Amino acid sequence: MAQVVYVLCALTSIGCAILLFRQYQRTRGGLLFWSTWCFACFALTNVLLFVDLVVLPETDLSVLRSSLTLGGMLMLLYGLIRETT
Amino acid sequence: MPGGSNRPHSRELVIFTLWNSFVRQPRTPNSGIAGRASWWLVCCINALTVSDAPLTPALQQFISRHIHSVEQIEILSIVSATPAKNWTAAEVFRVVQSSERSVAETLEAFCKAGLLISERSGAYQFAPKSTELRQGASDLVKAYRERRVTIVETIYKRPADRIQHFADAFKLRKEK
Amino acid sequence: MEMAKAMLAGAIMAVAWAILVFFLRFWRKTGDRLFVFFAAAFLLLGIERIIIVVLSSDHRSFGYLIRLFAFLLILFAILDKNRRGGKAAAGTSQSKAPDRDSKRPTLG
Repeated sequence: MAQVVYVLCALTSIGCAILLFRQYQRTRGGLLFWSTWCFACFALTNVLLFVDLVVLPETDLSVLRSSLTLGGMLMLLYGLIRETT
Repeated sequence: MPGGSNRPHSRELVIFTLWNSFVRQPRTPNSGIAGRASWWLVCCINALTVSDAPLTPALQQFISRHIHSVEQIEILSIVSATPAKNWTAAEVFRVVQSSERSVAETLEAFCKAGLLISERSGAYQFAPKSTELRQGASDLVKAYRERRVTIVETIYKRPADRIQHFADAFKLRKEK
Repeated sequence: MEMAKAMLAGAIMAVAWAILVFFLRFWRKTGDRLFVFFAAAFLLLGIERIIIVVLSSDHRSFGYLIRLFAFLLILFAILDKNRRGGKAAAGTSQSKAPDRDSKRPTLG
């Protein structure tokens, strides 16, 4: 059940990243660029979560995962501030 | 502002054409039948060739990336009209009459974007680095002459557009 | 290590809630429901971070459940957007830019 949750989260993030990238290719908007990277980082984080808890349970990748999440969110926040204010 | 007058579109243009042909005397040396006929022909050609189509995605992209004010379009129009000439900020300011500082900043920004090259003397020359930039500048100047209101709207309603682009990204089937 | 995790969790929560404020602003500006769902998703993502740090490892699955809800909200937002046919309360599609030039006849 937990694996399904991780995979679902990863697939949703990947889907969002793809949709945002498609729109970025059409319009080349800055906000779309940064939000694509944010969701790409979320996708990577969720994949790493799966790896951390299921594939390699003896390792602790939580700091790496948190850093990736923070990096992705900071990119989105930067894009929001720069492009919409 | 330099550039032609605003011209009407579609139905309004037909009315304009007819009004100009039969009511308003054309100010041509030959104001006889031949003069009116040629004036009417010119108006018809204008009516048929002016487009009602929305701005192309390439032009929207060009505006989104490089143009943030009407002043910048005016400056681009001036320098692109004479590609062989080197323009200093002072010379451009004398034509545009906005603010010398913003003219200088715009010329520098266009140079960084690859639309202009700067000489050692501090002058700028219109020399786009790529075909896309050249085409974009040419399309923008043409569109600004023909569809000023649309261009100005495109520049100034940008923040909401970006937000809407974000929301529209999640539409799985795009409208054509 | 625990200190680093706590700091990262706090930073993620702060940034997530700042993003949430932006999405709420966009919702007010455009009326598009998608932004409300995204705001709620980022609220949950912020809460999830803190819960994972605060709770012991036996109960951390609750935190991941919150993450699941957040992503389900995002999925629902996308489905809702497409179900509505893209007709938000006040937002318009980018292809429907009005041709203002035709409304300015000038005679002469």
